[in-house]
This record gives sequence, structure tokens and C-alpha cells, in this order.
Amino acid sequence: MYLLKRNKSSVNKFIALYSKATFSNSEGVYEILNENEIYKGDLVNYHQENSFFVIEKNFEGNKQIINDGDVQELNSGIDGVQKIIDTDCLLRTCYSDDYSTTYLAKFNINLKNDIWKIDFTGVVFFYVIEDQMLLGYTDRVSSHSFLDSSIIWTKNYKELNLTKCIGNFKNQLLVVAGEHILLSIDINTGEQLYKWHELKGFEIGTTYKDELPSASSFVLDEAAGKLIGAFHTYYFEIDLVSKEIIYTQLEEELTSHSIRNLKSVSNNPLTSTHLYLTADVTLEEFQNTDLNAVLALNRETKKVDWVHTFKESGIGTNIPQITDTHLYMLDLEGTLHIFEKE
Amino acid sequence: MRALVFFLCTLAFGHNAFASIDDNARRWTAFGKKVEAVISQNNSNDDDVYFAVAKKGKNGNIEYFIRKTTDVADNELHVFSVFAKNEGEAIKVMKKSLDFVDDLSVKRLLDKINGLKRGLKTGFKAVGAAEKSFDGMTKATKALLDERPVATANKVWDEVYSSTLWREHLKNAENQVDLVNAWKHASDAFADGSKFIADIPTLDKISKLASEGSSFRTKLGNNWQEALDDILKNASDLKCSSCGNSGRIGRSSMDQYLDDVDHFIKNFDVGSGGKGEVFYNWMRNTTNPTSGQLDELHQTIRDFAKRGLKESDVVDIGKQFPIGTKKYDLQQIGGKFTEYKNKDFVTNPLTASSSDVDQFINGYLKNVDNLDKLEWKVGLEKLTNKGWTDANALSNMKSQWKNVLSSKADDMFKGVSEGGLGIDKMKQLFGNDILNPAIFRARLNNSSFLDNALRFIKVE
Repeated sequence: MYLLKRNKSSVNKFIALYSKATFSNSEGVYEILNENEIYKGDLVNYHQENSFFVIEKNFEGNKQIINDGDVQELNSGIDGVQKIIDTDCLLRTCYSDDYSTTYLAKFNINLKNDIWKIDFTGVVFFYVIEDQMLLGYTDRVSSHSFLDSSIIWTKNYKELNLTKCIGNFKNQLLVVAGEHILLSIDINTGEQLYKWHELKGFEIGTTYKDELPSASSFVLDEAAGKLIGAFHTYYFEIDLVSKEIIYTQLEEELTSHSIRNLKSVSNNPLTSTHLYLTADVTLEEFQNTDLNAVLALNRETKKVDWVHTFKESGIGTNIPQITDTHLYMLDLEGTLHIFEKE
Repeated sequence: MRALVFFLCTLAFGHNAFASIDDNARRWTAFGKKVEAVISQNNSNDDDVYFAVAKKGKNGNIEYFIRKTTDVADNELHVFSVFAKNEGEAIKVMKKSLDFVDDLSVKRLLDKINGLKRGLKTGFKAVGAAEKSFDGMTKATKALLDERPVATANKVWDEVYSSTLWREHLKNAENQVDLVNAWKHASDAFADGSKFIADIPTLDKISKLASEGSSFRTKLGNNWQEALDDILKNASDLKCSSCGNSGRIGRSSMDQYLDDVDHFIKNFDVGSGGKGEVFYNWMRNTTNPTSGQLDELHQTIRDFAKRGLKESDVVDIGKQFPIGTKKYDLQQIGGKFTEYKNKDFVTNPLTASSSDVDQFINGYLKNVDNLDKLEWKVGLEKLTNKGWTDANALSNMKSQWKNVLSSKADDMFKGVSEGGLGIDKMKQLFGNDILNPAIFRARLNNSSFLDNALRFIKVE
């Protein structure tokens, strides 16, 4: 499916979105255009999943935000950008003088001031949905008005340990609660709509038996209404409408490609046909060392349609990213491996 | 002379002990004194069997008598057997043969037998007669004698049966043969005088490993005896119940270790290329492990046994992270890593152990997306041995880690191409609002944040 086109060293972060690929190094942010790398500006921070925030040095006036997908320019002096809402405002974190307390602030870009500020300490995830903002703590979820930050609702989940939000599907906030529990929470009320936990018949070793092995190892396929996941040598699908969990043992297929086990899924890219995963590989010539690989798993056939093993570096918890034409994989040494679609 | 004299050393007793004997002159070692018994060429099949027995006289001297085999008294020791036409002839033979008997040894044995409270008949029968196991004991003894020089057989008595505890334990053992064989293994593996040879918990565990049909034997096949002896020899500096507090700090007691060895070998592939091969080689000392590696072996297999970990739970043991110089100790299914540290961090704090810190940051942290997938387990005993307590060891260890993370914060926030973890990884691990080193350092001073951030530390 892909051919290794070239490697780009000294890369700190990489983001691919739609047809654009952007990376940062110690000097700034660059867009990759064919074989060229175009300087976009000095890097300020990149706290939003799919965006860089760029600032021009010594710039003091307002500047229009280029909100076209990847690189965005902001005024100087704005720290802790978490999410850009529109051309007028963004969400940022700020701190008490001794850094003991974190606040989340809605910042007016034009007026250069905070519209409101709320305590953000202890928040493990937050999610903005239209006019409300959902803050997740380990033991509760609260909904705030985006307009004035007032609390709309708060729901306690004290018996659970909320850790992560996977996404929102038709007003269901999909929240991970500990290792084995996945919740569907109504974004309008905070009520639990469904809980996935038991998985009768599933068993690996003595540790995993009759329960969802890893509730966090999923990515949302909104179009299909499914959560797609992987654990060890298994492929998972959770139907968000019927609530059914389907899993498939891939060991034989993976072993035929020297793949020992799949790595956790986080925000891995997927298409209607493929899920792009990372994996641990065992090769005879590297008996005492784990190797990593990136692969394309066909969601229909459950076959590995493409795999590339990295023999000179590890990829850790990094995940591949794709555009219409390329697949990119950043390794732990800061080398960006650029693959082109065949 | 028509009569036949049959010396059965010190420890052959009762009718069951009689064995066929050829007509060649034999050289026996009895009671430490060499004797030569000439076996009659023309003894007749219709001769009767008599026992030459010894007992203490009133003045403490040893007196010898001829007894019919059914008439041996509880306080009499069977010394040798005589085949003769009648009692008179047997007495004559006995008197002639007594020239070859070491009175002092007989006296010593009688003293020991007289120490037994239960009914005494002869030798080992004294131990087994009280309850169920006379046959078992005899077989055990015979098995031992068949395979061992007499001098060693004497050690059974001297080192094992002289212990009241041992004697009672053996008497009540379900399988005395296994227990006596365990003693044989221990006496082979350990130096003369080693306390392990008479340490009941140790011998029980050896007995379990060496018993016929044990998982240990089944797993190791024909090599099991050699492996067991290697494992015992390589563990001679451990603690045991008979050793008090002496023994290597930071390692299990011998009986605990053997239990853990049993679990490990039973549940992991220790063959060539298997996940358990390296540890198995360390156990046997076939790859010359360092003292530190053996400390880690003890800590690791103890933890495996405690958690019931098996091969099917484990991705790999002691492998290198992808293309790097750092190794992990354990990776479980699901990508959970464990690092085992069995070190004295009191005298040599973590801040001075750059390799441990480097391994943690550039090995483990780069390969986990969640601190719940990481355990850093440090052995407690080496810490308490240097003055920390059960109560403060964890908080002291956290304090060391806090100082390390604080001092390394700038490096950790550097981009991956500059050797750091990068801001994304720091956020992923420590919180979405931990955006720079200053914030991270400040938060490490908050006890609730610190406890959460350092939840990977386990002191056990």
C-alpha cells in the first residue's frame, strides 16, 4: 500500500490533517509540500490535537487567525492554548502565581482578555460540544455553559475512576472508567446511558477473563457508529447503536507477518477499509530486542494489507498519521518516516 | 565354621533388611572401623537367623547378646546377623565377630536411641515403629544405603536423626522416601555442616521438587537432578529457618526461594529461547550472573509467584526496548511494564544512579501512554536493612523520585529530537495542564499530585 519515500530527521512533532502535513523542529513549524518544507513561523505551542499555534516574533498587534486546518497564528502573550473555538475566542489554561491551581479561561482574541475563568485543577479530560463544555474528573463529570461558564449539570461517578474521553457520538460522551469499563454518558443530563464491561468468553492468560480487556484502546468511527479497537492480538468493534462487542483473534494472521502483538489504540487513523496500527515485532535476527512496526489492518478481511518494520528505531506510543497520499510515522529519535501511497 | 555373619553396617534392621549375599569375602565399614567378615562357604539353608544385639549394662558398658529375630527388646540395638544351627553356635560366632565391632560407635548409637521416647526396636525402626511408617522408613533407608557410602549413611544419623525436630518431622511425613532423598540432594549441594542439610522447610521444598511426578521433574525431564543440585549450590548464601538472620539481605529464604523456583519453572518456558531461559540460567549459575542480578532474580520470581503470573500472561522478560540500550524487566499482555530494583537506595540514592533514571525516562516513559501501565518495584529489605522502616520506605522512595523528576524536568520537556520526551508525552503522562517544567516542578510539591504522579512506585 505504501512505499518509504524518505526520512526527515530532527522532528519534534508532526501533524497530518486532510491533505496537509506539518512538523515542528527546534527552529519552527514547517509545512511539507511535495519534497519541500515551507517555513510557517516560530513555534509557540501545540496543545490542541490537530493544530500548531504559531507566533511571529515581536508581533504586538492583532493578527488574523488562519483557521484552515493546521497552522494558526495568534497574538503574542497568550499562553496555554488548549483549543481554538473560532476567530474571536479560544480556551486556554492559566495558573495561580505558585502554579498550584490551574484555571481554564475563555480568551477573547480581539480584546485580549479573559471572558471567564474557572478552576481546572484535577480535570482529566474536557470536551467542547456546541454551547457546552464538559469537564471530566476522576469521580465526576460536569457541564458548563460555554457562554458564561455556569454549571449546567454535575453527575457523580464516585464508584468509578474516569480517565479519558474517546469522543462524542450522537450526544453520547464515550468515557473510559478504569481499565475495563467504558461508559456512554448523556451529554444533556450526565446520566449513564450504557456501560460496557463484561465480555463473556474472552480470555487471555490469567489476567484477562470475561471482561473488556482495555476500555481505552479504541478510536471512534463516527460514520460507522462504532468504536474500533485492538488489544494484544485481537481486533475489536463496539456497535454504538446495538451496544454489541465483537472481537476477532488475529494471532495467526499477525504471526505470519512476524507481529507478536498490537499496541494500544489511541487516536489512530482509520478509513472505511483500514485501521492503521502499531505493533511489536519479533525477528530472528533481533532475538533480544523488541522491534516496532506500523501496519494497515483491513477491517473487512482482518488481514494485514501492509506492514513496515522499523529496524533502526522504536516508535514508542507514537501513532501513524495519514493524508490522502501519504502515511507518516515519527519515531523516538525524532525521525519522520514518510511513506507514499502506491 | 558353618555359620554366616552378616554385618549390615549400623542401619540395617529387621527382617526386611536382609538381602541375598554372595559367597565372596566382603569388606564392610561398620561404625567407622574396617572389619572383614568371612562368609562361610558351606552355610546350610536350614540355618536359623539370629541377631547380635547390643545394650547398655548397668555400669554403662556395652553388652552383646544373641536374640531370636522376634525377641529384640526396645532398648537393644541390632548390630549384625548370624546364621547358625542353634543359639549356642550363634553365640560363639558372635563372640568371634565382636572383635571387628567398634564399641564406641555402638555406644553412641545406643545413646541416641535411648533418647527416643517412643518404642525402640532397632535402628530406624525406632523412628518409624510408633506409627505408620516402618516400611516406608526402611525403604527410604535402604534406598539411601544402596546409593551412598556407609560414611555418608552415618551422616543421616548424625546430622538428621540427632535432631528431635527432624526425627518427628520425618516420622510424620507422608513420603519419607522423598524426604530422605531431599536430604541426599542437600548433602550433595551444600558444604558439610551447612544448616540447610537439617533445615526442615528447606528439605520439605526439595522433597516437593524432587518427588516423582512433580512439575519440576516433569518440566525438566532427565536433567532435573543436575538442575536441582545446581540451583541449590547457587543459593547457599540464603537465609533459612535454622540460620536465624544470617543470609543474603534482599533475597528470599531458601524454602521461599525454592517455592518460587518451582512456580517459575512450572509456568515458564525455560528452554533455549524461552521467556524464562535467562532466569533459569541465572538460577543454575550457568551464565555467571552477578550478585545484583541474583538479587533481582529473587525479587522477580517472588513477585511472579505472588501474582500467579504465567507464561500466557507475559509478553516477554528482560528484553531490550525497541532499538535502544535500555531493557525492561517484564512486559505483560496489554503493554504493562514492570522494573524490578533490589538495591540499597538509602546509601546510594536514586539521584546518584543515573543509569536507573535514564532507563526509567528514556526506556519506560517513552514506551507507555499511561502511568498505570508502569510499575517500578523496589525491594523493601535492602532499604530497612539500612535504617528505613516499613512505614517510611515508600515515602522516602517517593521523595527521591520527586527530586529526580524535578531536576530532570527541563530535559524531559525537550523535544524528542533533542533527547527529551516532548510536551505531548509529558501531558499524556502527568496531566493536560502540565505544559512546562516550571508548572511540573511546582506541582511536584503538591502531595496529591505527587502521589498520583508517582503511583508507579511500589515498595515490597
